[in-house]
Amino acid sequence: MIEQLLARKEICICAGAGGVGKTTTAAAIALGMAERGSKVAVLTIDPAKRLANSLGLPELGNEERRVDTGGAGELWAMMLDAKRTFDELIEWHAPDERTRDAVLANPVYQELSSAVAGSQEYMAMEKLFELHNEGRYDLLVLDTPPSASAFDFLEAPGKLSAFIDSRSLQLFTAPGGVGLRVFGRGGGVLFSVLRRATGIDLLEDLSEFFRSFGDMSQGFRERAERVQALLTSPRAAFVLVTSPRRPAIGEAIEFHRRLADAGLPFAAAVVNRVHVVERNATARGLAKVAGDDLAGKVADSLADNRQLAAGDQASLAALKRRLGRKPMIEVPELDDEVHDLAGLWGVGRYLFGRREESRPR
Amino acid sequence: MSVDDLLQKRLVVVMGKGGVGRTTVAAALGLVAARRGRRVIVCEVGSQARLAELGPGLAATSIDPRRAKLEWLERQLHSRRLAGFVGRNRLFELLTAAAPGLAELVTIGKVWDVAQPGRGSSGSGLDVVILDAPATGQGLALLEAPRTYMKVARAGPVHSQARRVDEFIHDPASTAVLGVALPEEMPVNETLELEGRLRRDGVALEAVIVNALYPARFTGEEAQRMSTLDGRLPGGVRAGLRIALGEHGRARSQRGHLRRLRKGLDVPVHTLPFLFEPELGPAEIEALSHALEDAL
Repeated sequence: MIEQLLARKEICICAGAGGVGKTTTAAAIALGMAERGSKVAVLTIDPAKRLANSLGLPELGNEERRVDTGGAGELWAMMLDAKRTFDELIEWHAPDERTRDAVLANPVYQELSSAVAGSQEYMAMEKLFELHNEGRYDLLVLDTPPSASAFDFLEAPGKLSAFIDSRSLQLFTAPGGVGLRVFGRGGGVLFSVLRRATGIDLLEDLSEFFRSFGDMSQGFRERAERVQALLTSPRAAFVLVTSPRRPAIGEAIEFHRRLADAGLPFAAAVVNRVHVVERNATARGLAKVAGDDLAGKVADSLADNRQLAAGDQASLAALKRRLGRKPMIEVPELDDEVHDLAGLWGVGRYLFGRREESRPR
Repeated sequence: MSVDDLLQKRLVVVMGKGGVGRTTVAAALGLVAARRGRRVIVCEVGSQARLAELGPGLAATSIDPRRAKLEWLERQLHSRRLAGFVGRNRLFELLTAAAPGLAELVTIGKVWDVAQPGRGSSGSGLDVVILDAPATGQGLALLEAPRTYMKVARAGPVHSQARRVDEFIHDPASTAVLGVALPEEMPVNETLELEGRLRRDGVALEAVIVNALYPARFTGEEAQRMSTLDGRLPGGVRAGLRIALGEHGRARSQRGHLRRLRKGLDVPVHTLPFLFEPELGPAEIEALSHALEDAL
């Protein structure tokens, strides 16, 4: 199913709240597409080594590494280092070494580039954009940064680039700019208020930041616009990953709405770890062969798991109603945790449909 | 450490990876504290307001970073009017957004403020604050914010304020971190990393709560018997056995991860049962709070 949805796509973004299986889903999609002959790269920002391990690599770095899948296509993986990507971006945009060093050493830049919230999302988009421009892959799969909320991913990059490209700030902090003219030299009210509120002489750092950024900010703005254009184009696809638990489903419904509002192309929702109990499952008659005690326990287990399954089905129905005709893919709770290629392949069976079952391994 | 020792702290930070049930544990601990006669409030960051749904009887509050910033301004500027004016100023907002770690400092500063013992009309009159921290990375950033900030603001009132908060966080008599994990590969790995990180930071990890542990319903021998019951059974019964064996497999793998966690940690590890409920509501949180009270 995923295969058809991603057939003419160049970018697939897996988004969702924390702890719902985004990384696994992204890796399984990438693996599945690679096995079907595409050259795929999966980008993760999750510093935990699970993705690396499940792909059979000791670790991942800021450069793509080839994963040996034995399949028809190629699978590459990388773990994004947000701070380093940001630094590289500065190196790329800086007109000369002096500017580069000034920006890299600036406290305001250091804050922006290493803030836990924001820079990861921004840099994930940047790297995606860069790799897409290079055109070395048929498909790029992005595992979005871990965050409490899926919305962070949509909002954070905009906030950051808006800051870098803020004309009002640039004007304000420029030597002889509005700030100085309105508030007078040095002792302006706002300056002193700012100093009192923050305890630091930000203004100096800020004007230094914008001065050295200078013409670079033009490049950043253009880039942000092109990233936005790429994301809203039919070449991109958003896959919404969720668990069937109520809070996660509620957030998934909201996220779907916001994707639509933002004009971002939605491909499918993937619901991980769905509890499933076959309709005919029963412990009736088991006592004869297994004894009353064990048969009773099996009956209890069935009743408990049925309750979970019924709850999950209700959640899924609620999500399905909101998705309309858009596909919703269910991945059942698997007996084993996913920690190797075989595990990813097992998840892939549900994402891609069943035909793979015959594939030797 | 007894449950009363834990609740003697002024601040208990509930921390863990996304999706492990931090809010559930924070709410349950809040109920425990209230039952034991502590004046308690459970704090979450941002405006998710999940706590209100979980414990109708629970005193809960949500720290809105924007409002916290306004209050911070008021305090630093000694003027509500001035704070209101600059706080709504877009330019000022942009300017302070560039201050390294200011947002985190303001947020943890607000938590610190709430956790101060009653000081006349300004005091909160609370015994203990339970913080439902953001997911691991952002939660740690919150605890480290005052120290980071002290390096930037080297002197002055903001520096002293940051130092007070930092000392409070690093004083084991005042602040404790309660880790939350699931008995699964990744959450256990992250909890082990969290412990190391907290130790380096000098913040006390008091205990770890392992959430949603499946019951050990079947013995190994029973599982063995179930798997050898032969194929002459009707399809429905075989399906039933598959469910039971699946549950047993999960319960067993969970215990493996739990052992690994216990082996890797020097602090007590307690467990909360998995509830076969599609949704956790007030009744389930109440039940879990009793389980937590017994475990601690």
